[in-house]
Amino acid sequence: MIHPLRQWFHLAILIPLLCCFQAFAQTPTESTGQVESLKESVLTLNRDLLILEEELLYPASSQVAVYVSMDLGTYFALDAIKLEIDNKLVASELYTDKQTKALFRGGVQRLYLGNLKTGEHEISAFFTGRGPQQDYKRGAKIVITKDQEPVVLELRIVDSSAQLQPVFEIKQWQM
Amino acid sequence: MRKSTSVLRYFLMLAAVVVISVDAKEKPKTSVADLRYGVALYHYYQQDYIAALAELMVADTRDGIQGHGDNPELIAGGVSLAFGMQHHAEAVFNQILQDERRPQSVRDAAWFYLGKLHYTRGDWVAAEQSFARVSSEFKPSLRAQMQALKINIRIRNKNYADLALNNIDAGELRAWSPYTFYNLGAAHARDGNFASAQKFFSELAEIDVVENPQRRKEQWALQDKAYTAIGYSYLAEKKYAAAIREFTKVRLDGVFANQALLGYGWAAVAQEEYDEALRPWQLLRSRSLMYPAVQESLLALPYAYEKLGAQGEAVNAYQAAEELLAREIQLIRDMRATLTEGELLTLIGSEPLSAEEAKKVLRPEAAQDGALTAVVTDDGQNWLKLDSTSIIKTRSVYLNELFAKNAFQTAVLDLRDLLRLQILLQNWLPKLDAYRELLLQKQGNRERQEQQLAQHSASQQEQKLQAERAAIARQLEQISSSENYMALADDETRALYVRIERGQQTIVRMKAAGQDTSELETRAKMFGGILLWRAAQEYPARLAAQQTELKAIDASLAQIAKTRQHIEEITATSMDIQPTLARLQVLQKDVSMHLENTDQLIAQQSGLLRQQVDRQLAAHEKRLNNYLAQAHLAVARLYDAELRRQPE
Repeated sequence: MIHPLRQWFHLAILIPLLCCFQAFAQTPTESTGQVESLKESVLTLNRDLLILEEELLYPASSQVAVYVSMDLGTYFALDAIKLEIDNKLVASELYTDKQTKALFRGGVQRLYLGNLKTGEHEISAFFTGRGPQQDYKRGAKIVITKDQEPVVLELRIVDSSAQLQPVFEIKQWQM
Repeated sequence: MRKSTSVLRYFLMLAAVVVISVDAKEKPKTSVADLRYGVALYHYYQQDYIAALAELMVADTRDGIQGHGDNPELIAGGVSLAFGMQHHAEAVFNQILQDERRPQSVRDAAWFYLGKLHYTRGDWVAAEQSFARVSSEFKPSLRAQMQALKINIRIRNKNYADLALNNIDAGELRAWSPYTFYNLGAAHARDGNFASAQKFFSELAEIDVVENPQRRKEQWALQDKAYTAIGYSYLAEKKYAAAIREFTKVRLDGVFANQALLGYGWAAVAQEEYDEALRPWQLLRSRSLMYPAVQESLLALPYAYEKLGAQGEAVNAYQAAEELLAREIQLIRDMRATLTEGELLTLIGSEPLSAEEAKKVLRPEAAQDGALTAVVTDDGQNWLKLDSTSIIKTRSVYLNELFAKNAFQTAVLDLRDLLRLQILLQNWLPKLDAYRELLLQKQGNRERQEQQLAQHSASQQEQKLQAERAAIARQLEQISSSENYMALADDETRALYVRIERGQQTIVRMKAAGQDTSELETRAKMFGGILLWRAAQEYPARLAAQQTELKAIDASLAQIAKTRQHIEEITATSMDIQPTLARLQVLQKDVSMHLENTDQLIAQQSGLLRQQVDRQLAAHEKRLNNYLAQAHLAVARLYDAELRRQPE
């Protein structure tokens, strides 16, 4: 006697088992098209809003932007950065694994965007983190003269292969 | 077994590959030519696709990204894919391909990704055409993936009969060879060619397991799946001993163990070895009732008892099955009632967890504690990914099958992206209000300043000048009409003339007193005449100088009037603030309109998702009801048989 469930069961087991690993196709639905179209227009709107916001809050004549990058970063695991302008703390960041991995892979973080009056200013950055042999707490400083052009600075964490340790520097970009 | 087979996940893998091929993961960058490119990468690597695209779009609107060659375009294509914008990505890749001067490596990458786009849409012809344009110099790891996809297209087109193990280059397929063998084996099995299927499955089972722990786990699962599939194909061919041999190769702690145990039992039953069937089925009965194979064993086990003549045990087992199935059906009904659109939205909109965190949350012990049993992960693919025990309220297995489907994954991703867009737009609204206030305040301040300027400075100066002008004009009029030369004479002449006039008055008084003043009178007259003559000589030049001064005052007054008019114009139009305010107003309207559209689409998508979930649960409920009916019938049948056996 063959149990009636048996044939049914074989089919039920075989169908999922014999599905391909790579799904063959995704039939585009109406809603998928609607969602993609909405994404495009929201992203365009977002772009326009960002441009307006920057013009409004950080006009080029007073703008100062500070970025963080890591070149290799094998001698330094970044924990935190503090940024001061004229001895006043303007930005600080505690880095997650995700953020440091993104920096390690070549990403650049925009740490600070603000405004500065024309004239001379001192920008200081303080880096804390761990190296293969020791913990680090280092600073870097630069004095800049702000004119009508925006100021763009890059806080760079660079491996010094000669010294086998990290080097921290601030680079001013010519705009 | 691979964790997810969805097409969209596949897309995100693709996007990751785009980036990796551009900026090799193993070799971190050594320079950044444009910081904005780096910022886009920074967001992309954290799966923050909206921010990454925003950075690229803002850069594009300005002067573009300099110094990174074709990479920004490839990145834009890759990030667009990651964010589910296939049409946009397609346009980017087509644009790259239109330029014949692009390096071959870039063209190869663009053709490859374009081919994959066509593949995922099911446009096999276009996919094959795109793949055919990829050169032999293309990166071997991606080429391996492309070969696997080309074989899949042949399977889809039922054009795989000539693909045999001896003419497939497993070396070229690299890490994709196990999946390709499985797909070919499954295709043959679906067509009833079990012998060919078994060859591919066996080849897969014999592949050396790799050292990488994660890959090893996947490969073990894949091999388990292959053994299980071979077992069932033998079962279909009535080769029961061979089926049992394959089923026993499946790991007992793997995800295919339940199916293998059940198959083992059926193979034993088919050989009428009912005792042999009891062992795997009893083991299966001790496992969680969430799994379909375990539910099936509720009926299979008493069936074996029946065949062994143990009617009492069979009745007991059927009755236990009735009770368990009824409880399970009630649990599914509860799930259907509680798994609302709102709950799905909360789940999909919740903070994504890393793979490790998700694993912790989804472990069976946590589920028993009443912890969440479904999560959104962000382990690089950003897919709603659930393991075998991970669905809501510990009833997860019922939804596993649904969650693995493309349609469901697509709907979940669309919904997740819509929720992100909703947050983005919602965040802009208060900011735009604040910016509007800021601009209005700025405008007000400017107006006040301008008014103050006009009132206190320009206006006072104007009044003073006008008074001065009126006085000079009056004086000149009098002097001119009376020919009063002395009025315009220098100070010394006027002072001397005053003294002469005083002297003449003295002479009048002396004369009245009877003194002789004839000489004095003559001298005074002479000196007075001299002074008048001197004043008359200078009069025309001095009159002209006065008139020039008057003209200068008129010119100053005209300038003040012009300035005042200019200020009034600025006040009226607020030259730079008004256009910005107008722009802001347009954007505010756009944000509100897009937010409304987003809300509508979210409601629509969550409704569709809820329907899919409910349909899936309803199907499980129906299947369990079917089991329950079978159990009822079996109990009735056994009691009936027992009654018939009893002497009347």
